[in-house]
Amino acid sequence: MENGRNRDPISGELIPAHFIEELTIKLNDTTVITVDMAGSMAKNPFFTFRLKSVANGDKITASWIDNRQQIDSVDYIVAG
Amino acid sequence: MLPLRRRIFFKQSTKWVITALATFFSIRSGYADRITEHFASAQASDIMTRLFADRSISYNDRINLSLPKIAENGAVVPITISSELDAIDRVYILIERNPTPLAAVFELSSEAMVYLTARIKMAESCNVVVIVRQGERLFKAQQWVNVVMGGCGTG
Repeated sequence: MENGRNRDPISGELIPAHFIEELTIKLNDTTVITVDMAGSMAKNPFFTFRLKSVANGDKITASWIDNRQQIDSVDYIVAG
Repeated sequence: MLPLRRRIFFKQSTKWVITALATFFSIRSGYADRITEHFASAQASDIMTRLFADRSISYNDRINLSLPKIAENGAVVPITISSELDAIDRVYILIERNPTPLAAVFELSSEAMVYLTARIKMAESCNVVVIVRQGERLFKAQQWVNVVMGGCGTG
C-alpha cells in the first residue's frame, strides 16, 4: 500500500496513494462486518473477527475495494 | 442480423457489465457512503468533531484495549479491541497524531462479536483512541503508545 506521502527516491515525485478502502465480510451472503479504512492501517492489517455462530457448511466471503476501484473477493466454506 | 460471434460477444459483455455493477454496488453497502473528509488529513480533534459533532463521549472500562506500551516499529502496531457491551454497532480507531488520524471504522452487525484485531501505523508516540457506538450512545477508551521508529514513511 502507499499512503500518498512517500516520494519516489529517484524522481522526487510523490507516489500516488494506493490502499484498500473497504473490506466486507459476509456470512452466507449477508453482510456481517464492514471496515472502512485509510492510510493509517498497516501494510498487512492482519484482521481478526469473531462471529457469534457459524455452522458447518456456512460460506464466509471477504471482499474488498481499493481507492482505484479495483475489487476482489475470496470465499471460504466452513468445515470441520 | 448480427453475425453469431458478435451477438455472443454483446450478450456476454452485457452480462459482465451487469455483474460488475452489481458487485460494485453490493460491496459498497457498508458504511453507506464513505465520507472522505472523515479519513482526510487533519487534526484528530477536527476529525472527532466531523464524526461526532459535540456529542459527549464517556470513558468506559468495559472496552478492553490491548496495545503495546512501546512499539519498536510504528509501521506495524497490533491492536486488539474487545468488549462485553451489548449492541455495539460501530467501532472507530483514531490515532491522535497521525497525519490521517482516523484509521478505521468497523461496522458490526448483530452476528459479529465485539472482538477485533488489526495492525495500525503510527507516525509518533501518541494516544490511540477507540470509540464504540451503542445505538445513540458513545463510549471511548484510549491508551498511550510510545513509538520508537515512526511508521508513516514506510509505505
